[in-house]
Parts: sequence; C-alpha cells; structure tokens
Amino acid sequence: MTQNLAPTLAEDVVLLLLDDQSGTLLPIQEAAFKCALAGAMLMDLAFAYRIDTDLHSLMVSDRTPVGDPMLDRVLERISGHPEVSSAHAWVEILSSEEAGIIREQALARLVEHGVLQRHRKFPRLFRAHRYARVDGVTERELKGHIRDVLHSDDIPDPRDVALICLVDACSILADIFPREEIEQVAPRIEQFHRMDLIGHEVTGTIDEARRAIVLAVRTRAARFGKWLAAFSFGGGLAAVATLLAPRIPMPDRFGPGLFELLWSDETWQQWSGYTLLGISLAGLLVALLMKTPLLVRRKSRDWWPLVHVGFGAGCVLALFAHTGFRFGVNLNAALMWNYLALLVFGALVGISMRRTARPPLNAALNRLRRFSIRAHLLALLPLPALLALHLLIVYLY
Amino acid sequence: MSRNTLLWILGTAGTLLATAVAVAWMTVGGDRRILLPGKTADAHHQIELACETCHAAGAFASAKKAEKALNKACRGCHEAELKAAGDSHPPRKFRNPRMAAHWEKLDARLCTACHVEHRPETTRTSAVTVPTDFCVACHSEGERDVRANRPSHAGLAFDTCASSGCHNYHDNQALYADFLVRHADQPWLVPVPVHRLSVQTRTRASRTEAALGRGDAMAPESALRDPAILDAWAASGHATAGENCAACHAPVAAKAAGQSGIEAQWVEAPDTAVCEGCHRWQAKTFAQGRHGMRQHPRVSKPRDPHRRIAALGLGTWLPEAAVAWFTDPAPPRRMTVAETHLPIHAEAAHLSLHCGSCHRPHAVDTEAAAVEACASCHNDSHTQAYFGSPHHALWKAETAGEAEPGTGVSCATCHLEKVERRGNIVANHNQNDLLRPNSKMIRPVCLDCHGLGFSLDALADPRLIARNFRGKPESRVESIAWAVRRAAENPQEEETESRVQSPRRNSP
Amino acid sequence: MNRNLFRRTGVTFCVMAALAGTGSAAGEGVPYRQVADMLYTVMSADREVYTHMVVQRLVEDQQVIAASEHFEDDAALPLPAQMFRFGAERVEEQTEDFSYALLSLWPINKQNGPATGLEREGLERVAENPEENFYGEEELAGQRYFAAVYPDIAVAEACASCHNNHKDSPRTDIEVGDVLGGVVIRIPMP
Repeated sequence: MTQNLAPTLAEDVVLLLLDDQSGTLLPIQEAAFKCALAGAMLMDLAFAYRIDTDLHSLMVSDRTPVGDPMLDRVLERISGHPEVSSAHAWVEILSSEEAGIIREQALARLVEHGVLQRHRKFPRLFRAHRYARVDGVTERELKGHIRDVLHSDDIPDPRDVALICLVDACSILADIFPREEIEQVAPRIEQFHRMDLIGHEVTGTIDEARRAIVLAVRTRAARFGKWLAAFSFGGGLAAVATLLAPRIPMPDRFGPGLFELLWSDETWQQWSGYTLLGISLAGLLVALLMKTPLLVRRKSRDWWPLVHVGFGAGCVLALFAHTGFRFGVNLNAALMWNYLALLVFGALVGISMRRTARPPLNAALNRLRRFSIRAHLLALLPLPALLALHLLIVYLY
Repeated sequence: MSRNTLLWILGTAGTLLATAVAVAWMTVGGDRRILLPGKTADAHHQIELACETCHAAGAFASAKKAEKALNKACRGCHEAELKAAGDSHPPRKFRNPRMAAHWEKLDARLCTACHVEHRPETTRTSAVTVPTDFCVACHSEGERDVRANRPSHAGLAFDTCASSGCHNYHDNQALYADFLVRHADQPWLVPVPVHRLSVQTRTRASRTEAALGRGDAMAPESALRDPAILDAWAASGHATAGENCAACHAPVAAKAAGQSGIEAQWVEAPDTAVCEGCHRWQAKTFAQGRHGMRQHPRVSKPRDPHRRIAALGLGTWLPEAAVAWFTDPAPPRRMTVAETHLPIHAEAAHLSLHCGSCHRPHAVDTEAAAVEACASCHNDSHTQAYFGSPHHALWKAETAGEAEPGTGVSCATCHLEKVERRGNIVANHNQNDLLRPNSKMIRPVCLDCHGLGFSLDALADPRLIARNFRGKPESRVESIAWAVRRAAENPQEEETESRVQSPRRNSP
Repeated sequence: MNRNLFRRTGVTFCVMAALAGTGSAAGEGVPYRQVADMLYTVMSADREVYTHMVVQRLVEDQQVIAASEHFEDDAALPLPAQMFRFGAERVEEQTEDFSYALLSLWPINKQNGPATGLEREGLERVAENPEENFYGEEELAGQRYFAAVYPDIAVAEACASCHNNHKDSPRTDIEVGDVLGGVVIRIPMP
C-alpha cells in the first residue's frame, strides 16, 4: 500500500509535465525527462539520508529501506554496485535503465492517490494511456507553489529548491512556465543553484545530483548530436535525392563497366544484396542493443545511436549499389518502397533528434520525431516477409 | 500484454503467414503475377505466367543447373529457326576450351549471355540485353580486329555492325560477302517481278473444276437457309478439295452415318480442332508463332494444385476453398488481341486468336486472311501505310484479276512464309520465321522482285518501313560496294573459280 | 553420305575418348599422348577418305558436283576443311572429354588463328619442323589440358590454290607439301 507515502520528486516532475489538453506528458526531449526522473530518485534518497556524496563519489550511507518501494528499488540497485561511484554515472544508468519504470510507477501512484484518472480512449496498440486530472487542484497547487517560491524572497523549503533545480537542470522549466516569467526569475534560480539559501545537510548531494543531471543531459544531447544529425541528414538526403533524381542509365557500351556489373551481373548483384542485408542486420542489432543497455558497456552507450545511423547511411550506399535506385516491379517495387520508407523515417528521427535536443524545444519537431520513430518501426514490420520472398524467388526459380 | 509484445507477435505471425502463402504460390500453385521480377521481352509476355517453361531446373537447383535449364528452354522453341537461318554463331562453335578467353567477355555458349529475361530496361530489339556494340567482345583485338583486317571497316564503331543492315549475329544468309558480290549490280526492280511461291497459291484458288458442287453440301435443311453461305462454300477450296458441310459441322457422322446421323450430330459452330484435324502443319506452326504460342507444346501447363498439395500430405486437410487460392490462374488458351503490347484497333481488343480470326469459315478466303485480317487488329504505322502503298496497288490489281498471279504483295507475302510441302505451297503460320531481323525476308521474298542492293537499303531505313515503302531508301548500305571492291582487289583465279563453282546446279 | 561419315567419326571419337578418360584417370592404361595420336589418326584418316573418295572423285574425276564454301547455297559439297570443322563442332555438342580444332598461323577466318600461347608455340613448332608433333599442357578457364598439335600439310593442289587465292587468306605463296597449319587436340586432365 502506498496510500500514505509522501509524493516523490519523480511524481512531481511527472505531474508538472502532464499536458492538460492531450492527457499525455508534454513532448519534451526524452533524454532530459529521463535524466530528471533519475535525478529525482537520487535527490529523494539524499533527503532520506540514504546516499551521500563527496567531491568525487557517491556512496550509500545507509542501506535500510526507506519504506517507499520506488525509492527502495533504486536504493537496492545502487547499494548492489559499489563500483559505480559517481552521481553522473548513476544518472546515466538510472536514466537509461530505470526511467521507464520510474515513470510508470509515478503515474500509477498519481492515479492511486486520486490525482490522475487513467483513460483508455484508443486502442492500446497505437496510443499510450491518457490521463486526466481528477480536479486539477493538485497540479495547480504545485505550479502555483513553485511560482510563489520563485517570486518571493523567503528562504525556500529545500525540497522546493531541489524540484526547481531538477526541472531547470533538465531545461524543462521552459516547458512548464512562460518564457517571460522565467526570464524574470532567472536571478532567483541562479541563487538556488548556489545553494547558499538553504543550510540543509544534504545540500552537497543535491548539488552534486544537479550537476550530474546537467552533465548527463548535455552529453546526451550534444556529444554526438551533430554527427548523428549529419549522418541522418546525409543518408536521408541521398535516399530522397536518388529517389527523385533520374536513374543513371544502363551503359550502352559493351564491356565490364562498373554500373553494368553492379546492376546486371548476377554475382555482383548477390554480393551487393548480401552486403546490404548484412549492413541492415547490423543496424538492427545495434538498435536492439540500444534498447537493452545491460548488454552494452555504459561508457560506450552514447556511441550506439551514432553507429545505428552510420549503418543506416551505409544502407543507402549499398542500396544504390544493389539497385541504382531502380524500383523494379511488383514484389521488388514493394520491397524498395518499404525499405526506403524505413531509411527515410530513420533519417527523420536522427535529424529531428538533433533539433529537439536544443532548447527551446520545438513542439512541432518533437511531434515529427515521435511520428518518425513510430513510422520507422512500422516500416520494419513487413520488411522480413518481403525480403524473404525477394531471396526465395532467386533460389526457387 | 504490452503493446510491444502484441506488435512482436503480430509482426512475426504476419511475416510467417505472408512468406508461407507466397512460397506456396511459388511451389504449389496460385497467381504469381506479383512475383514477376520484370516485364518479359517481346511476345514472351503471353507465356510469362507459365514460369516452369523456362525455370525448369526446380527449387534450389544450382546456378549452373538453372542456367542450363533456361538455355535448354530457349533452344527448345528457337533452335529449329536458328538452324534454318544457318546460325553464324551457334553455341557449339564456342564450346572448344580454346575459346576460354572469350567466355569471360561474352559467353556465346549460352543464349542467356545476350538474352536475359525480365530486364525491360536493357532489352533492345530482338530481346537482346547486351549493348549493341557487343561484337567488340571478340572482333576487336589483335589479329581478330576487323578494323585491321578490313580496310573498309577501319573507322567503324562496333555499334554499327548490326544496326547498319550489314551483319546479324545469327542470320547472315543474305548478308555474307560472296552472296553480296554475286547479287551486286542488280536493278532495284527485276524485269518480271513475281513472288514465285505465291504464284501457286494464287492460281490454285482460281481453279474451276470443283470436286463438289452446291448439291453436294450434305447439311440439314435448316442450315442451308442462307444462300450466301452455300455460295461461299461452293466457291471455296474446301469444295474444290471435296470437303462438304458435314465434314466440319458433323465430322464423325460425315464419315459413317447418312443424312440422319449428320442432322443428329450437327454442330453449329465447330471448334478449331476440326480445322486442325486436316491442317495439322498449319496448326503446328501457328502454335510456334506469336499468335498461338500459348498452345506451344513446350509451354508448361498450369500446375495441378491437388496433386502438389497431396504430395505435401495436406490433401484431405486443406479445404477446397483454400485449394482455389493455390490454383494457377488459367490464362485463356488463346490470346486475346487486347493482351498484345503492339498498337491495335480498340474495337478488335475483345477478339481472340484462332483459325477463324483470320479465315472466314465458309469462304476460307486466303485473300482476306492475307490483308484485311491483319489490318483488322494491327494498327501501327507500317500497317496503316500499307493501304495506298505501291505493294497494295499491286495486290489490288492482282486480286481484281488485272495483273498476273504473284505480282501482288500482301501482308502475308512478306510476313507469312510460303513453303513447299508435298507438292503444295502452304503458309508457315509461325511468322517469326520471317520477321526479325528483317533481312530474313530478303531471300525468300524481296529478291523475287527487287535487287539485293535496293532490298538492303530499304530494310535498313526505318522511316521507309514506317511509310510501307512509299518512296526510295534515304541512305545506302555500303556492304555490297565494299564486298565488290574487296573481291576485285583479290581476284580468284579462273581455274579455281571453275573448279569450285561448276557445274552449277539449281541456279535460278 | 556426309551424314554417315560424320556419325561414324563421332562414334569412333567417343570410344577413344572413353579410353582416354578411364586410362589416364587410373594412372595406368593409355597415356594422353597415345590417346591424342589415336584420335588424330582417325581424324586424318576420315578426312583423307572424304578428300579423295568424295571430293576429289566427284568434283575432279567424275565432275558431277562442285565443292564450295557456300555448299548449301550452291548445292555443292562442303570443302574438306569445312567437313573437318563440322565434325569438331559435332564433337563439342556431344562430349567434353576432348576437343579438337583446325588452326593456322595464316588463317582465312581470323578466328582460327592461335588463341592461346600453347597454340601459337605448337603451330610455330610444327610449321618449322613438320616431322615432329608438338605436345604440351596448359590451363584454360581453371582446367588443365593435355594438348597435342599435329602439322596440317597442303596435300593437294586444291589446298594450296584455295589458300593462295582466297580473298581473306594472308598468304599467297603456299605450295603443295607446305605446312598450312595444325590440328590441335585437347584432353582435359583430372
């Protein structure tokens, strides 16, 4: 039973980000949101005196369960891995491995506490749950409360400071409050950052967590973002351009011309075809590994999206080598359209990720990113069957 | 169950199901149109769903076996035609291992080296899928370089070998040097322009001593009401040959029973099987040609889904409705005009191709079959331009009785080879034998009325062909001039000439 | 008559090829050189028979028919060299156990010039030294071959005059008894 448990910072973050109109969470940058949830956990554990930080490391000071299953889960995890010793590392790990669970738990608890109501208006297949506020009071209270804290000169409650630092660290303050208002209170937020307003024992840890979040968000968003976008853009552009540009005509001169070999020699066709298949499968493998981070060494995790996109761009080249962007007819045409859809939507994901990573958040681009991800995955659905037939037809006839 | 799990299950199930269904289409039966990798060349579209005709090696056969089967299929239908054309590059000439260096460039042991199916983008005239300068592969290097061997060829590009009216890869019967020399200096029109083989077909039709008359019709009263039909028959070759009405309308009774049996067995519209019963060779060649190739004996029959399903052990398990899914769509046994890729008259689109499409059943008039029948479907510029062309004028004069037999030129004169069989001149209904390359027509047709030089020039002029030979060729094919010059530079000694060439027989 | 001649030649060759196949594969039996010599004996015997008993007799002695390069159009006999080539092509259609070709350093049809290094060497050797055949081995398209080259000599005036007068012939000075070219026999080695 969680009825009598105090709300966690994660619940507050979720509640702040819930969009009244759509009933879903505000379309903010995924990484920032995940980092915020991870940071919220660390801050809550700090407030419960379970973890502590010094200049270089984060350690568990008390292994006793807090009594809150959400926090205890994370606490158990942290105490199980003493070798991971920095706040930044834990923000990284929690944000990529636990954020989904934390979000679901937070939503569930908000429903349980009667703050939210869960609606299933749409088939589950395509839409996540929608939530509506039961009365709107709690959220308005929360927002109003934060506004009060920001505008007043009083000494704030440490938990409020933590929450504000949290949302600011993730650059999601701008998603919650109007821009002018934030500009107005900017000095006060700066004050909060310095932590000199509060004389709480956990200040150091909170600050450390905040720094870790800022660092995590920044690296996530910017480390390979440029390359990611460049690769996506290049690959996508190549795909679209060759799609629209006139085909390179088959050579009209006899002889072992490269294009003729590529596009009509059966051996070359098999080589390019299986190369394309290999690159595609490698890309798919990377995508699956990204989704199961336990299998991947943490430090290299940032690389993986870049590798995935790199394989995607490689696919465009191999596809050109295999087909010269000739669509063929019937089954081959279907396969070509399907594969190109996969590539183009994949490229759109990469491009929109770069754009949405930079605050201020562009809501339209963010919608595009979500749509592209969905379309990218949907395009994957018929591909195995089409590909199997494309191959079988060669060997059966 | 989460959304992702559901998607995974749906995706996997859908993939397996779709693959299984399509594999069943490939191996058991069913409509395979969506699996076609590309348009087939030329007239092959008529049999493109009879995949097993060419893909006969079976599933998972090695590439070598599959290739062998493909080439065997080519030869199955086209070998006789190539042999008749005195193929200049038969595969057997390239099997000797000393040709190994050539195999790598262009493996002439295989038909599929130059003719690959389902490649519309690179398919050129005569279903050739290699660039037109393919001669370069074997005739451009060292001592084999024709540009070095033949001073006249010094500056020529290899894409002109076959496009200029000088050479063909397979059929050079009217193009080889000695033939050119022998037929040099011919006038554009010979003094007595008559197509020899047509003479007999034309004169035969006008014979008067009919074996049967109007009284010998042998038909029930009801069938004889239309006097026009009776007249047509009485004037037809059928009457001349002693075939009465019953011979076609009640063939079994005609042989045995009397008038009553004929009435009982009378068939109002007999099937073409009746025609084929007597005109076997025509039916055979019809099935070899473009109009009837679906009936070619080498075209694979629709697969039997019941047998194949039973072989998989699913015979009793699969409901009949599902079997229908795995049944080959049976294309009509006869091609309809609408299916052709050539320009046609829209109003003829619904017609199908059988004996009666060109031959009127009672008049069986080869005159109409030789022109009107063709033009009732074909609607390209060459056909349109025929009417009013010099050839047409000659044809009109001949059919009107104003000119000698064999002087007229109909569509069939050039495109339906006349062959002497057992003393009769009959039409080879495989029009392929006299179609492409168009130099195939020179010896059996053109040269009867025209000189070789004019024939070569005319056939190498696509615009003149489109105008159906109204006017004169715009350019000259140099081959005769070059061959004559070369012969003059290297005169054969008198002694050799006489020894090798005399005594000449069969010279016209 | 021609057809029978071809057929008989083909049958003899096949039997001998079978000999070569079994003999050499086992490492004992008939050596390659001997098989090639036997094949050549049959070839040259049949060709001689055709030249003398068919062409010479009908064209020269009895003068009932001509022999012509374009024998179909002229309703004439194929030239002996053509007959020899047709036989070789017929063998190509029937077996891969051996192959042969009539080649020359001065071919009328340029495709019958030497195509491999061994062919050139062999043809040059027998041209210089007609008393001796040439034997060697070479690899073509990944397959090793035993190859034998036998001199082909202008035995009759007709041979020499045709090769001297043909418009495509590179030589005009051939006399009876000269080497015109050679017969190359190849047997694939395991």
